[in-house]
Amino acid sequence: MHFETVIGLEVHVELKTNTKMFSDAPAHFGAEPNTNLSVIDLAYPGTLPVPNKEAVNFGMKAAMALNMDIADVTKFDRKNYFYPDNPKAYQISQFDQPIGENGWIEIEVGGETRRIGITRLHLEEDAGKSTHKDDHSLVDLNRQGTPLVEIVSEPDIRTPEEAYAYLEKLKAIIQYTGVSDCKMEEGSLRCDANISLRPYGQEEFGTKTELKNLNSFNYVRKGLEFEEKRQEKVLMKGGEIPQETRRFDEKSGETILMRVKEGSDDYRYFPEPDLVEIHIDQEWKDRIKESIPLLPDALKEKYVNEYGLPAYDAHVLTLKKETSDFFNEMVESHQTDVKLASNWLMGGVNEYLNKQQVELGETALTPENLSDMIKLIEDGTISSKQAKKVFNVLVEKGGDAKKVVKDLGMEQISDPAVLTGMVTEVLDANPQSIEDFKNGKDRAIGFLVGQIMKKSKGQANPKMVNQILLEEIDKR
Amino acid sequence: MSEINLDTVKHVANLARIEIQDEKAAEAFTKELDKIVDYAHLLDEVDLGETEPMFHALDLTNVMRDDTPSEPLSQDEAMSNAKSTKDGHFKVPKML
Repeated sequence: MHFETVIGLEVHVELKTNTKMFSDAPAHFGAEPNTNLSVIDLAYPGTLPVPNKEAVNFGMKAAMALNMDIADVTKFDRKNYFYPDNPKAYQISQFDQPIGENGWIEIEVGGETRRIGITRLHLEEDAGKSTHKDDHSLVDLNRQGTPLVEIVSEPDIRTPEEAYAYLEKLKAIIQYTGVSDCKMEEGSLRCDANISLRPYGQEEFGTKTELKNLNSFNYVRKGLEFEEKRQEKVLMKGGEIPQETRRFDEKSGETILMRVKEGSDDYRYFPEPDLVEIHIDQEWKDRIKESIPLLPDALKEKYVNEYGLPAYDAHVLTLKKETSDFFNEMVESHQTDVKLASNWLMGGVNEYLNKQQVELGETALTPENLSDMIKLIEDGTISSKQAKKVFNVLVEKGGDAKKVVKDLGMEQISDPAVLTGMVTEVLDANPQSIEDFKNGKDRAIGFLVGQIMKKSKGQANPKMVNQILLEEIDKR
Repeated sequence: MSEINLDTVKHVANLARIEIQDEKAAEAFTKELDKIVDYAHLLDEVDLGETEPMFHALDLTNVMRDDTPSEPLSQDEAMSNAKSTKDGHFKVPKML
């Protein structure tokens, strides 16, 4: 690479409120088309928007979690454009007085920590959704009016890898605040990327292109990698990069020209006359601040310093709130050994989730039954090998770990009386082996243990079998 | 004077999705709009001194509602004024 890459990301996050940003129609994903609507969402003449207080709270919470300054006075503005998924012909957004400004998050790439600035976070409403057919398009307006925050990073990102790390971190933080699910597959988190190149040492930015249709963090990285190379080729030939919007094509991994960018002026922003200012006093800010739980970085620190987990484990456990909530409950409510809990979550559990492509919450596993299972391994009731079978049942069907062990007939036999009985039977049947052992053939003991295990169908507690066996031989 | 020229009018008309019939009409609009903008410039004569910018005529702040949903419109009601529908969707000319 002969040039320095400059990347800025715009992330839209849908807020998990019960109702729309400016109407009291329900705002949830997955409803029948055009059934989550009020006359406000449909832009009927004479209707007036009223802001959702919870959406303002959520926006503030997200902004605080991203280390931003919260506005004392914030207001809404009109962004004018025509599109069939936008019935008002304008979007209510925030232009010059966003709710949050001047934030940052820290990312780690290649063992190095970098701080990425966040310019602003503003509240706005989502548009409807269109499906394009051969000779017409279909519009479902359910999403129209869903509260959104747009989070705009500073052009501080230097590699596609850093862009990936930024998104991963941003998603984790927002998820921890609980204001959004951040599910890219459901569109509750969306990302556009701006990228330009400049010769090393040059202060001025090059002309940027905007990438759209980036439907996973991986596609963001791939799209940026492609665009980085494409722009370099053009510049090396002495060409110029026009300011344009390009679409990432998932099949080819290339970016394709969509349109030459409209200037910002064309949106003709002006203060929204249907809404009044929102003043945020210190008491309100304090109240929201107090409602923010431990965020991933703080939690990671706790895992490393208090629990003694390796940094990598702590990182993986705090990528998703769901995972760390699960882990916390195992450790705090069920007193499971920290390292064992972590190993299972990062190992068996993760393996299963990746293989089945599901989230932890979609499985039948609970902090309680996984904790119980781990305890059954610890006290020798089941072996690690048997645990895998128990785990498969717990994750698929759920239930009580002890009962599953019993149902599977794999409870270890640890009752000394039962074990002594088996040992005696085996010894009676194999006098030659006792003789061999007493003559110094240690291998004979292995044979005897094998016989006992066979007799118990593998359920005898091996440690205890060894002990009882030696005692019984001594007696003979 | 003459801040508004023919290109501005055509640009604004395009943004507003207004079709201007011919060049003559566009010229007429140019003159009219120029007069309007000129008239609005009267405001420049007001000495605002240290007056803070005002964004709304109403002296109200923090008008908000609780996050409690109401019964939404039925699909039929929601689509009742649509010119064309299909499978519970608004049907519109092809986009993209």
